[in-house]
Amino acid sequence: MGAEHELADALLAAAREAGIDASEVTGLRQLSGGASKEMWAFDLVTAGGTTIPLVLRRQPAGRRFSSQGLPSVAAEAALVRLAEGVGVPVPSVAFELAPGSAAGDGYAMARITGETVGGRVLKLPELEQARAGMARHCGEILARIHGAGGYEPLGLRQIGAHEELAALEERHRLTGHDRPVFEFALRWLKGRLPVERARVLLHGDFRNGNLMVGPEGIRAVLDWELAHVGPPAYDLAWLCVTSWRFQRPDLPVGGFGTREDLIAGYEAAGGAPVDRAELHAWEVFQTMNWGVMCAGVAEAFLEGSRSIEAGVIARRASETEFDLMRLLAPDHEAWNVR
Amino acid sequence: MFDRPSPSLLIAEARRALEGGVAPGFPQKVVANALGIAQRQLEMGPALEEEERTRLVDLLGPEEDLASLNGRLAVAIRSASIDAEEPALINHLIRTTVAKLEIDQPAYPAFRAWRGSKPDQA
Repeated sequence: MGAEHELADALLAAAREAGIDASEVTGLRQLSGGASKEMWAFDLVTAGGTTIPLVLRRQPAGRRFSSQGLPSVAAEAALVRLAEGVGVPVPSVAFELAPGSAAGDGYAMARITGETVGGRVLKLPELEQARAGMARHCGEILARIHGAGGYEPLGLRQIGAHEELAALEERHRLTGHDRPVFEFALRWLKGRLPVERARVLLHGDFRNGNLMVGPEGIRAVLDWELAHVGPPAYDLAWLCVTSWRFQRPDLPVGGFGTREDLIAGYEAAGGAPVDRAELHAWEVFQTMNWGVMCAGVAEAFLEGSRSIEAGVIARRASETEFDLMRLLAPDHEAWNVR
Repeated sequence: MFDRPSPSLLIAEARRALEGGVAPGFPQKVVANALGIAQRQLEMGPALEEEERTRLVDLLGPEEDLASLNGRLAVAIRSASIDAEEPALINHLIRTTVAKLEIDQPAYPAFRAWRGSKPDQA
């Protein structure tokens, strides 16, 4: 295929431009293609005959960049490098595509293996050992991300608790669908979501499903495109949202661990002391945040973005309403009635 | 009041997917899920919505259709004209949410866990 030849050539040129003594690109194949971003696997053969297994994450030329966080896919590479510099496990960045590259906007990173599917991370027997230490390790990783400096030149979005809540309410209103449970949660949050003591670098989508896991533990944190600057509890709480616990709702941290382990790891690695009431308030926020995302899919569906997947995701908004009521009124007697 | 898309839209979309051919495994499961939601809503929806309407009339007074009642409840909560601690309000929100999960996702693990932990019916 001509297009693949062109992409291989562009990759070879980009690798050489980055100072890698590359002689050939082989085994190029597409792994996944979302609405805007694609992932490609390939091998870079060096002049010395070494083979480097890599993955390209890119947006083809001519497609509009869609991210709430970073200005471009290539800009993500700078963030991943920064994270690696503070000891966060990531797939190392090999090279970026130069602006205007025929291959589009993106970067190549180390091709590593491991399990990323949330439900399988919780079920696979060979990951049992990994699961035991994962909540604490997540805490340590988040403390390192949150403690990182030097992100200022990346031009990340900065958003505090107050603006987050206003934006959440606005997004809910835009769905045009009356949801008394979301109103109830918003009213609760307005009285209780505390203003953050500090704003830090956030991963923005840190959850089971975005972690690559091997038998020894977390191998890499993936999907950095929602990174921004804001309250530390934003990341800690998103990891605890019930929907990301898959088959193990009893284990609040990703379905694999406890909040106590998460917080212990976070504080031991230098994270600011975590206030449990603040974490709880952010769990309410993040649960509704996921719910509003599902509700948004429903509106998009009705406006014509129809697919069977969208139809089913749209009907997942109610799971967050259930989780919100469990969080906001756990002891109400209505739960005891059939 | 159940969420959108409606059962007929879900069925139409499932049919369109089947006409185009659906790969075995996860894609098939998604189609089956959509049909399951539609079936449960067609079978149980009307009775559950009638219960919801009765609760709403008890909370808000004069009866209207379900959509306007839900609109009124949303405004009442937002404007704090109803006490957020009111047990009848919380009771309604919990019951309505449980009814929605019955239709949308009875296998949702947190829902199943709550179900399993409930005291036995006398």
